[in-house]
Amino acid sequence: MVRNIKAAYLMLSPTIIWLLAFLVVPVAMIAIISFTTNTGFGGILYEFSTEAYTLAFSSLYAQAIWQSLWWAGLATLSCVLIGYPFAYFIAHAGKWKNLLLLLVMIPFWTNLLIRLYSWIILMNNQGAINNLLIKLGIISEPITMLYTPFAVIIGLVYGFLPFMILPIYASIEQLNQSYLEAAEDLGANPVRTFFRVTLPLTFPGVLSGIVMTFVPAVSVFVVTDLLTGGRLLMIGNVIKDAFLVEMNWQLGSAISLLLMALVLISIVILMKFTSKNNETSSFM
Amino acid sequence: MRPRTRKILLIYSVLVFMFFYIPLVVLMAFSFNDSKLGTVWTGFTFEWYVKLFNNSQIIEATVNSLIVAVITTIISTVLGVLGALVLHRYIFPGRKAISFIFYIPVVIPEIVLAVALLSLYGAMNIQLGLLTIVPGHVVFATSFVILVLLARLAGMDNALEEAAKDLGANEWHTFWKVTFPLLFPGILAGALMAFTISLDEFVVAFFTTGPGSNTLPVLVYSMVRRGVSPEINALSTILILLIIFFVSIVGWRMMRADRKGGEV
Amino acid sequence: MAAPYKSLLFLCIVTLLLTACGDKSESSSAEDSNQELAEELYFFNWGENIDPEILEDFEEEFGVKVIYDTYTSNQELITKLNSDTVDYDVVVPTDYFVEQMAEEGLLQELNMDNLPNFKNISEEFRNPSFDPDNTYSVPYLYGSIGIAYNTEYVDEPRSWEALWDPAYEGRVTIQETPREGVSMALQMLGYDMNDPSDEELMEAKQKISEVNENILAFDNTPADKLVSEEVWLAQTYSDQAGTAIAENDKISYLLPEDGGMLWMDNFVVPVSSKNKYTAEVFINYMLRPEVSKKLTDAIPSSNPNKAAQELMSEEESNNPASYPEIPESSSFFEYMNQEQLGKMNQIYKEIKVE
Repeated sequence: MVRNIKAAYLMLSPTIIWLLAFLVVPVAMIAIISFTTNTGFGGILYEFSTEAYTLAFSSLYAQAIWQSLWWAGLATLSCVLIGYPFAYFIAHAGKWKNLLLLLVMIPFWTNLLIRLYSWIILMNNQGAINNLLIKLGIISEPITMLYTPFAVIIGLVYGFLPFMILPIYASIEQLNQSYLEAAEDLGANPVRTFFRVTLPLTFPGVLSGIVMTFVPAVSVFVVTDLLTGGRLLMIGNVIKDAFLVEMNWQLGSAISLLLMALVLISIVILMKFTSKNNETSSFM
Repeated sequence: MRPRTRKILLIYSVLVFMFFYIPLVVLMAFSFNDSKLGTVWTGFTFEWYVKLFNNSQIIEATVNSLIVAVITTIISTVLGVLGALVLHRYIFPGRKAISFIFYIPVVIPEIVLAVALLSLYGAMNIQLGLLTIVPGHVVFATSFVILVLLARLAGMDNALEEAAKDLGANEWHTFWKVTFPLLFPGILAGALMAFTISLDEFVVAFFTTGPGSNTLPVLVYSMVRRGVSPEINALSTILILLIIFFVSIVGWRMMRADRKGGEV
Repeated sequence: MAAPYKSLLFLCIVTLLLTACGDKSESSSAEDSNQELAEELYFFNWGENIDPEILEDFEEEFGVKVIYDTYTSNQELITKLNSDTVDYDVVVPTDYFVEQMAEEGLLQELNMDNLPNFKNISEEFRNPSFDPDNTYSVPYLYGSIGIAYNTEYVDEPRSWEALWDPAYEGRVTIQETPREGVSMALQMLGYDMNDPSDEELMEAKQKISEVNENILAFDNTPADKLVSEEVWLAQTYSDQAGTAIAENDKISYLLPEDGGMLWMDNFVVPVSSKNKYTAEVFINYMLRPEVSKKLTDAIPSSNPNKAAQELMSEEESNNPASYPEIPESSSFFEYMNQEQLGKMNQIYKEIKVE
């Protein structure tokens, strides 16, 4: 760590200015709007009102937030479990690793909507998966997958897995092999080496991945709209509808700010908690 | 890695790749579907390819998306590298507050940033065009780049850099000769992420784009009310095949180089 | 400390750049009386709502380039127009949104002298309740919300009640837009869908919560599910039904005796337009019988243009999805105050959480 304040500010200034202009200022405007009076159809009357917050604090939205956190959490857990070994494999693929990394990203350059349509084709009651299972004699009646929480998990994992794989890859890739060899020389078995050496050293990558997967997954709305047939009330849909169906900017802003505060606080807690057990205190 | 572990991991990774690619195969197959409805198979046709080549809207939108994604990737990668390096290396007043700001774009729902930026542009009397999409996309992408890089930096060995400096290399030299190569896999991962985020983002893009500069995701999303045209499947099929073609050439050359190396 | 000044300078440069790149649309500001065609026309329409050839023909005939963009909902359209950052010449809002936009001063009055083809519009679609003298709007396309059903599995549904029939459990979809779903329940109960009381809304909520047990999904686009026969009965738009009928002839569509809802998309010229004359020339072109016919050949909505209808074959004008029998009890969506609308939205949310 270096203490050179001038150099630090100089290097940071472009990034900070960009974020101030296009993030902090707009978010401040949204924060102000959340305290104004709603006149309907996106109308904003600059008179102080806390009505939006009264609405936002209803049990209805608490339930929606809870549901969203739950499904996003499950999806994130699945992403860690699926993504870690996969990233490990790519990071050890020698000179093929950049090519493999590219292969991971290519599907995501295709439009999300039509990729989700593919999942609808695969998962619906008369879809490919059910047909295959019936032909193989594994099941006799089609299993309902679409419009169930299972479909939400599949959709979220499919949509966000690369955001787990990339940061984990970036930290496994630089793992110093000599540590692992040292551990083995000292007689640790591979499993022990993995949990005592590899995992702790690559934990910053896992953490980044969790943040980048979990957080966007909480507020996503396209995936849940298409794959649940609109049957679950997710907070992402509530926020989108507040802006784009009800045109109630105050309510949309208020709920968003509350959600953001909730998620940011959980990130801070997560960081504090993990930095105690890890050397990665430089994180936050 | 033990051979057996390697084998299990290989099979596992092939399965994950299948998870990624089976939906792509399905959507490519449906580019030949007679039905206009994206999810029911009714018969074989080339119609959508013919229509696609006559549809200047889709082609323009694709070009627009690529322009925005490339600009976004370049800006956000540069901003992200600078940000991550400073946050990792320096201790200065306001460091915590600043790293907090970097988390906001990850946390903020896209629609909120979208309408907020729209109001900002309105308040500043800015007429929207294609490039007005870039600021919003950069805000999102930069955070993701920084998060990836911080994870990379957290595990990076600083000894090499210090050695370079001890040997008399200046900051600039040290960065390009030592830090950058060490950081590169992280930068690549971050840039890929930035490109991917921008290329398929439609909420911010819709609200911050001007007349005549639709991006592809915006166009596709607006088709939802009537059903997304299989022309989009046809377009995606062509793009995917092109990319796979280039990737295969690279792969094939690497393979050949491998074999030659083996002979020597 | 020079850093803050540098920051400020940078901010200014960014702003300038942005202003510069957005400024290209700044064309010569035309007076209202200007009767000259502009070089470009900015047209903002629903997605997949035109035959591109129509625009190409216009460009060729008038030498005006059409800049064409698309949106997904009226709310998106209004949000963008409200922000004053885009200057579209022609946009296409749906019925009561026209009234709302006019009230907010977002629209310019049309000069009927420039729209002689307005005479082609069928008498019944002139002077709609949301724009009594067609001061601001001209009909583009219309349609309805009724029941699409599979004739093999379902008897002709007389009432919305059919969607509540447990025999069809898991084979039903209803509209995802809260107002459209709740209006169905209100019609079924015999109430005015445009001005429900609180008690009536409570009853409607009960009904929606019952139908929630019966449905597969809330879906504004069930056409594919109808074609694959995953769904047998759907409360849906006539154009969704039309698309489905074209691919599976077992499907039919009707407006139930309780009513059904009507909607109409309309051309309007927003105040941001600097080329009102060009916009009117364009609208007038769109009202030509052969152009209007071409539009509904490509788009499954219904045509309010009488002269265009006369060009249609028997088969086309008897299509049950485009031209169903419209019962007396059916009605257009009218402007509704924020409070009532909010309650309708709330009903959907509460049912989804249960």
